[in-house]
Amino acid sequence: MMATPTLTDRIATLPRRTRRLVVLAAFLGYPLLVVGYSRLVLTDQVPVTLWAPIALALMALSLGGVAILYNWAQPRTASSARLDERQRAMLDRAHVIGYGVLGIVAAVLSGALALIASFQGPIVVTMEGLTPFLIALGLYLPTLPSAILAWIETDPARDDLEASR
Amino acid sequence: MAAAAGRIPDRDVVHNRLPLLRADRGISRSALADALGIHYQTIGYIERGEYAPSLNLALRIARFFDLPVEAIFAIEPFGQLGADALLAHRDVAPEH
Repeated sequence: MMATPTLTDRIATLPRRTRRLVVLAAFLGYPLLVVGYSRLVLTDQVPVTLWAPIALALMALSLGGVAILYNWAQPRTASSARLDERQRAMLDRAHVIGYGVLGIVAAVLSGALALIASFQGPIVVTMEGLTPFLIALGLYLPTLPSAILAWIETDPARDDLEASR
Repeated sequence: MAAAAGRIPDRDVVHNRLPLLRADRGISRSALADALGIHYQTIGYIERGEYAPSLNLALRIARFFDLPVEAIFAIEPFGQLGADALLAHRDVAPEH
């Protein structure tokens, strides 16, 4: 009799299509929450009572996505993981792409801030404005290599799966 | 340098006879992977030409099959096996 797969087993064998959806959910949920709050709630276009469940759903998407990515990637990224050379090559590639993405984001942000400072004068940074960035950094920075790995790792071929049984 | 799994440019493809050798010796992908201490999926990636093994791994595979490495891996596609090779284990001379 076959044992029912546990949640961990299911996460470990997520197909790439699902993994990519999880990455999108994790990385879009919180930014959408912040943008929505600042554009809709703070401008009184949407009442807080209506926004609250949407905000909770977006936050759940992000946190749930990050948790799934962490669990999926843990056996592949942990320092104690016994990886072969192909798996190490994939992990190295994920780190390289991750740093590349971070570099682009940092460059775009710096450019945007420089433009704003040039045309609108000095930028006043308040803790209220900085907090969402700090939360995003804390949420996404450690997850980035796992997310890239989840995005690029191909699904096992059918004969690979048969070989594993 | 081994390219990352998934997509590698044609010029980096390493052709191999692993599926043929495995079938000939009756060795499963997971048995070969276990013997070499690598993940079973890595054998599949190598066989499909989606991952070029390091020299170290190529040599270990060659040692496992007790063959020279160039009999298993090549940068040019392998030609079809001729009658000589197919009948080599028999005492039957190939017909020409």
